Amino acid sequence: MQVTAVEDALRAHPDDLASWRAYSDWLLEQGDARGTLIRLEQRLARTRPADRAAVEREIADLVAEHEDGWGDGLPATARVLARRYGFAAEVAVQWSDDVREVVEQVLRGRFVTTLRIAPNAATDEDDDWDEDDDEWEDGPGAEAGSGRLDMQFLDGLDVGRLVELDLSYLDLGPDGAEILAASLRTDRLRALELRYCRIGDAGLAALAASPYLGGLRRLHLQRNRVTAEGVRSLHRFPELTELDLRYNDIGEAGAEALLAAPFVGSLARLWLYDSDVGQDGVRKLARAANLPSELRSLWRCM
Amino acid sequence: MSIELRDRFFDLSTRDVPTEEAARYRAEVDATDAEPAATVDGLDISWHPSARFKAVRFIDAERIDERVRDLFARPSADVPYLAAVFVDPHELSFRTFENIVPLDRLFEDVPLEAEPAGRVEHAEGVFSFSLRWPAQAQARLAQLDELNLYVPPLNAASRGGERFIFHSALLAEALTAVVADALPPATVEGFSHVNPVFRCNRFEPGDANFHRHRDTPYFDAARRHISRYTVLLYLTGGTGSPALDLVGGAALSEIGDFTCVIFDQRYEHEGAPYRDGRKVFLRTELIFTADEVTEAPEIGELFSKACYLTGESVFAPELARHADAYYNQVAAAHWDGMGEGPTRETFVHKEFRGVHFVANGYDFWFAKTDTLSLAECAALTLLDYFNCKLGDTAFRALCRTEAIEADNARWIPEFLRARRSGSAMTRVDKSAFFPEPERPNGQICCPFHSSRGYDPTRHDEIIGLYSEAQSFAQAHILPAPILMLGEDVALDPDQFVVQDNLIHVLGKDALTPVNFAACWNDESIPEDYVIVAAKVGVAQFLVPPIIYTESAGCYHLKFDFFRNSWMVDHRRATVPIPRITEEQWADPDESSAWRRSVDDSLIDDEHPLPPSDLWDDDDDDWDDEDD
Repeated sequence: MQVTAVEDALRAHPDDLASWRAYSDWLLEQGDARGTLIRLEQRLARTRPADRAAVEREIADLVAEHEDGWGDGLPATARVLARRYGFAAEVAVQWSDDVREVVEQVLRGRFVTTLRIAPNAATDEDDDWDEDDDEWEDGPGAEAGSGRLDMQFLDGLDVGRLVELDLSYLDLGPDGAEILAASLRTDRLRALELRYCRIGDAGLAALAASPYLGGLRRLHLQRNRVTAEGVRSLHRFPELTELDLRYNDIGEAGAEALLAAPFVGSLARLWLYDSDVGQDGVRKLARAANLPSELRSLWRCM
Repeated sequence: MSIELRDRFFDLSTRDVPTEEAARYRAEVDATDAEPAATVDGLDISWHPSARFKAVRFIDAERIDERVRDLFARPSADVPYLAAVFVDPHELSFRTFENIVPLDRLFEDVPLEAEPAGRVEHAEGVFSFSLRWPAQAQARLAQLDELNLYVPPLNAASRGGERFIFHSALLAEALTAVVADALPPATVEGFSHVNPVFRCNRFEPGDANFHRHRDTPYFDAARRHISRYTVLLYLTGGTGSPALDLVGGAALSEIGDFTCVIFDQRYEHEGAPYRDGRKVFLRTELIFTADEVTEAPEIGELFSKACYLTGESVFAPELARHADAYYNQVAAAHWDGMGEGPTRETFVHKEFRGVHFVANGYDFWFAKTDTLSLAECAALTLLDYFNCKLGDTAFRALCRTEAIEADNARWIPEFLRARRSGSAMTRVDKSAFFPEPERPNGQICCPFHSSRGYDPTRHDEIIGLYSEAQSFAQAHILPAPILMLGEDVALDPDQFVVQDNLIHVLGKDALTPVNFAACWNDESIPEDYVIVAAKVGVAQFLVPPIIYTESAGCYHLKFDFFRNSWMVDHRRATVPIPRITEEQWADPDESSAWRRSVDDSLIDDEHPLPPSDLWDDDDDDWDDEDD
């Protein structure tokens, strides 16, 4: 068995039960209790409700006995948000001076496909976002503001296993977004959380210009000072099914740009408020024939 | 202009008006558009007639929002607490067809002890006697006719005269004592009380007769109450030929004022105007308690059809005749079993946004198609039966309707197959109304302490309020089977559970709101920062399961609501969806706080909400001299 090939396949298709069963055999050969865990969890899914308690108890006992040994080389400061068959799948780390080393270690995790980098108390402290903040006038190439984070740490890291990246509330700025766009050389990424990152239209344009990010399905961009121009950049993400643009003053022109996007008919979730698009924008969305009816209806009660 | 229209209505309705003047007035009303001034019991109301608000109603003025209350006329000086409101007849549902005017206050502080005298038994179960009332009571009773509360009955075509309906527990209580005294003990065995709902009727000489009919008995299985006798209290005397004809019983040609006639409701009867003056009388019933009150299912079915056709007659006046025939059949069936009904049945074919269905008020038929689910059929049936409002328009007004008479229902499947329907409803993911709050930033304090700009969207205190508001709105919205998004109807198929041949319509279930506690030092208050994202209409139904069968390519749904006196209920509420404003400072003087939009009627034990700290204008009792 080509272990690395199976692991690669499981990262690409985490719901492939047969491959997990094959992987469990290999794990058991290595004496890894997660081989048993895979069997038990798959059995649980097939067990009728009345008999589940016994299997659940068996799983809980196994996890309690072995979980401490399932660190898989993750740094002590990392927090596992979710596991799959005992393997860390979603991991959060805090921004710190050694963030590059920490993230590098996390990315080596066999099945880590979701990474969240959260601001620490110091980076989050200066979160009062003044509308007249001069930083917005600086434009690309300006030096990062006092609270702005240097995203160069991402340069050269292997992010190829990531499916979801959450950088919410980090002060990236347009430049940070540009560095991010240049660093994410992976076409596996499906979800990007960039809420409150202050990337603006310029940052969004940089991300949209990336040749790797066209497969994004979910994009959260609350409060990024995106305008209609930024919405037009979104046209470069044709696969989007979930988009959050709340707290961005995109106006009626932004609503029009949204309705002209190639993904608009496939959207399952669209979060926006009336104040983001204005009353004329609300009317356009409420009448939009190409917006899925369940989304269009929501605009009819604003 | 609208005040003038309002006042002319009452002027014109109290005197004989030349035809041209009345036509001119109607044309002005038809040319007048009006927005509703307020809402009472879910009905939009206006203070003047207009193209939309054409039916007048009298209600207790205190029930009208006090900000607009004074705009509504008080047409009757004797009952100044009654306000005249104009409603849209299309919005009337089976609960609001009739205007029952609260008149107890007219009889407050009036001695009502009446003495019966001269009882005559005219035939089996037919009695009359004279009532001697104290002078003040007599004056109040006579006053009823002068209150100008008459409104045209819904079945005006099949009856003459004018009438209004009122409620008075005091008058009913006084009559209960009299009746118990005046009738033979065998007759009053099981007698409970006189129904406090009275119909005040007025006929002028030359008016059409009130055609021969049976009174529909009052029936309440839950309380084991049933009416057996009709009570007529004549407030004026006169002669007719005869003035009251009880077929097969007695005929009364001369009636003295304050005569009370009580007759068994088995009697078919016909009333005629007096030859020599105005005839004014009150009608109500004697209610008895029965050990076993059961009703044949067929009777409930007929009653359901009668009520439905009465509502439909707003759109197709010719249906009133059919409704009337059903009511008579119901009345007769109580005594003689199901007799011969009308030979042909009346159906209504409706189209709502491309979905065709046929109904008679009890049965609803839909063509079975791939796109029309059983849940949607049930939802459409509920919307139609209760005439729910979608946005500002009643469901029935949004349907294209035609009445069809037929010998039976066998034509329906083919008829519907020829008009195959799609779906008229949208689906909505209810969680789309409730995006998760942002992660709080512990560094954020109140606007006063945020020198560089305040971000309420990440302030833990505002997020706490937001979560609480979401929880409240969710408790109303998540269990609702049907949502109204503007005029769009969104169906929650999970709230319609199909089991065997029954469709269960699920209802409200409470969620527990979260509680939170916290520095605030600013003129604005935290509640100003949680504002309204959208307003969603929520329809809730308390109904028994709907029976359904499938045959000949049709879904056939049956509403058995009147059987066993199910306590059916329908409520529509508008639930504001909360969101956190992005504004750095929410001006309390221009506050559009979510909490202000929450209708108090939405708050109850199952849906609690702590009292608001928002500035209340009513408490603005700042006294300049106050130290």
